[in-house]
Amino acid sequence: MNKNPATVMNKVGKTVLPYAGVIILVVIACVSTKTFATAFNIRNLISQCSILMIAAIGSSFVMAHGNLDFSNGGTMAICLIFALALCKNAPMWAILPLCLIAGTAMGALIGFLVTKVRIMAFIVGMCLMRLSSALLYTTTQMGTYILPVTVTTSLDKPVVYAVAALVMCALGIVVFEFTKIGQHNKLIGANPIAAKLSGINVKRYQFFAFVAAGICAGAAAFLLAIRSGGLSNKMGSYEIDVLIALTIGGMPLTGGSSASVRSAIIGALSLTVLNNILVLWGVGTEFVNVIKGIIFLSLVLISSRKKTGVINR
Amino acid sequence: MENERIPKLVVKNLSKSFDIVKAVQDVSLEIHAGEVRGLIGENGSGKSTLSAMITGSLRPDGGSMLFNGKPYSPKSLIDARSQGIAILLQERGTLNGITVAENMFIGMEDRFKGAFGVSRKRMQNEAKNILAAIGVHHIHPADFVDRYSFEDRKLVEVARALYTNPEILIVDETTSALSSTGRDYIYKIIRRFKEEGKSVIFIGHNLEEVIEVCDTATVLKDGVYVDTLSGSDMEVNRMRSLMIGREMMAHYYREDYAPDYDEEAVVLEASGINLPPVINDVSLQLHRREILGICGLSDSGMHEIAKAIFGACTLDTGSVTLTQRGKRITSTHGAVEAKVAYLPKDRDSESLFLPTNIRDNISSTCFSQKAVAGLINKKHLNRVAKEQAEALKLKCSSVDQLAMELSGGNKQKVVIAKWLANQSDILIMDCPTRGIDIGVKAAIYDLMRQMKAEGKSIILLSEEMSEVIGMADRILTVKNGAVTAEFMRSKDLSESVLIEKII
Repeated sequence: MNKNPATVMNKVGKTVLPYAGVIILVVIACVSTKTFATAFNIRNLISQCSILMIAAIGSSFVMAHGNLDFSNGGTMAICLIFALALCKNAPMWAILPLCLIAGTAMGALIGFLVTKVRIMAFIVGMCLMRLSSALLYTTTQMGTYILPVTVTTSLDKPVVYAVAALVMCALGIVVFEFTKIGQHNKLIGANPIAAKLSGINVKRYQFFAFVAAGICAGAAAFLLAIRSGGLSNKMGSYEIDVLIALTIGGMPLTGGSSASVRSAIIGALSLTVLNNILVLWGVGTEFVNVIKGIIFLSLVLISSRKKTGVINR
Repeated sequence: MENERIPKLVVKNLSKSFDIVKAVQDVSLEIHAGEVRGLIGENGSGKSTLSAMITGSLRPDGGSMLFNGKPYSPKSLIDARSQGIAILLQERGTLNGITVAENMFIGMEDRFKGAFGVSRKRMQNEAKNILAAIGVHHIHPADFVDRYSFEDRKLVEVARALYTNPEILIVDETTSALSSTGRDYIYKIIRRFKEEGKSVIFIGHNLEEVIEVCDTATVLKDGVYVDTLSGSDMEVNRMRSLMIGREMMAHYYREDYAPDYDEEAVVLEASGINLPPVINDVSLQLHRREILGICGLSDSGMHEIAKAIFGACTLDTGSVTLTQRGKRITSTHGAVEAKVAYLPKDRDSESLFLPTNIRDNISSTCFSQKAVAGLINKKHLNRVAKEQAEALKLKCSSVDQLAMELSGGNKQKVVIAKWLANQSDILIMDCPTRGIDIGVKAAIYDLMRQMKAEGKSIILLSEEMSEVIGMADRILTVKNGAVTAEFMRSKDLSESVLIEKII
């Protein structure tokens, strides 16, 4: 078969390159720092990465249909407030289900606002971001909400994070690749009008995507609670990290056929390692953010570059 | 005087492949000043690929070109246009969400640069002048292009192509999308080009039109140059046999001349549907085994009627019911669940997922098929896509090929395949043969006959009178969003009788 070398290269580039990126980053980290390959650092990496990855998996459903998901951070904060502050007297085992319930409800609410009330997902995310940081501030002002040490010591283990991430990856791949939720969202991203006229219930499947993102954010929030030991008003900007991770992983910002959960997995791995390298090199937090911003911008630039003479749709 | 004899455009051994499909192989052509050259061939014969290479939107894999005797290798559509070769495309070439004037000057905004950026006023005035130059006065440059019909947007493109004063104009099946007034604009422009000693490359499916418009005609088949005809050699039957490589059967329409369907079995009924001002109180019934023809002008509202029947519009009043199931159609997903199919006129933007592979395009209607516990059966979907591609003789390297790489006729085959994969019982086909060559056209008519024989029902909407007369059991004419007359299938039905009712 004399396949066109350009298209073959393109396919190879799209499937192999992202993985190669992760490996190269790890190699760079091992060579250039002494502390990267230490047990402590790896434990740290696993917990960081799993939270980011799980949130990103949920977002990939929303990104697939062409919406920019900007709600992870907000949803995660609200899940934590709900599970830790509002249900203070609930038994400890209930934290996980409470997080998941809150995540599902938040996803449904965002989905409703976007598909029925027709507010842009990006705007909803922005408002949620503000709202949640205010809520977080007031709740932490009113009192401290920490998990009992017995809970955190028994759960704050690499294996817990790793298993959680693996389970969510498996679930994410199955739902994305083997159910209508993933496949329909991809088609909606490729051409929303054709999707509607092919009999796809566009609004319903967009709604499902937001619910999936909410559930994942709930799970990520639970891990965050174990990792940080409780409610803190410094949660970090997960919405932006998730967006950068997905873009690094090769997720097209406009969604469509090449969207996949793989982007979330590769992206989360790459971004976590990259972040870690910069920190170990002694780069200040502000400057790390600058670098992340530049990387994001250049990736967007590369992925949306115009073919000569052809105007992108 | 030697200069006079230098051809305007020389194409030497151009080749282009997509994966394993050789779209154009070793094609050479010479086009002279004042010549109107026809370019004909079946879908997938390489006409559009060739013109895309001449206008810079595709890079050739091999070969070279000379323009006015100088080496010519355009980098983009805009580059080709600035060098003097412009093209009118088959499908929509305007961008929604920006104004008519902005559409006309894409890539040329610099010309209107003033001290305070691009001057909209100057741009709009210029746009107005250009439109007036081709005799169009009803399109306003400051309006958003979305407001205008497919036909008017085409005219905007025509004006845009002419703005740079090209020496060669390529008309790529543009006329098949236009009504007779729109076509007249194009013919006038072609005549003017000829008079001014410029050249035109005219790509068309309607062979009578090609003979009428062109001085010479080059035939391509499977990406290979076959022959160039001129003068009295330009004759429909000869052209056809060169295009297909065999004699074409005389008839591809139905050969029976009596209506033939189950009169008692109404499968779909629209009663009093209203969506003013486009649809005004339309009622119709579709029977089992019936091909119901609906014909009208492009702006008659018939395309909207098709969409309304499929549940894609929110109606003011009235309802569409599947009589045998007693189910109302209120949404597109409801319609598809009930095995109703819709093939839109504008297939690229309304039915295909262009940057997606053929398999997923076909699966789009039937992901639930053979699903186990909600999990998609990918093996089954792959098999279905392959079967459909094979049955419809889809010209592609594999079902993994992207839909955007296919030619017009093959794209339509993908659209048909996705509805066949869903085992649809009622098909709403809006201009199913628009911009499609006779080979695929005949295949579509065959398929319609076959579906009728299987007990399916079809609503065939068309702007081509002969097609409706040739295929339908019963014909409704539409004007101003309302049904004006009903005709039963008969040998004596003529186009003029229908035209009277639609104009």
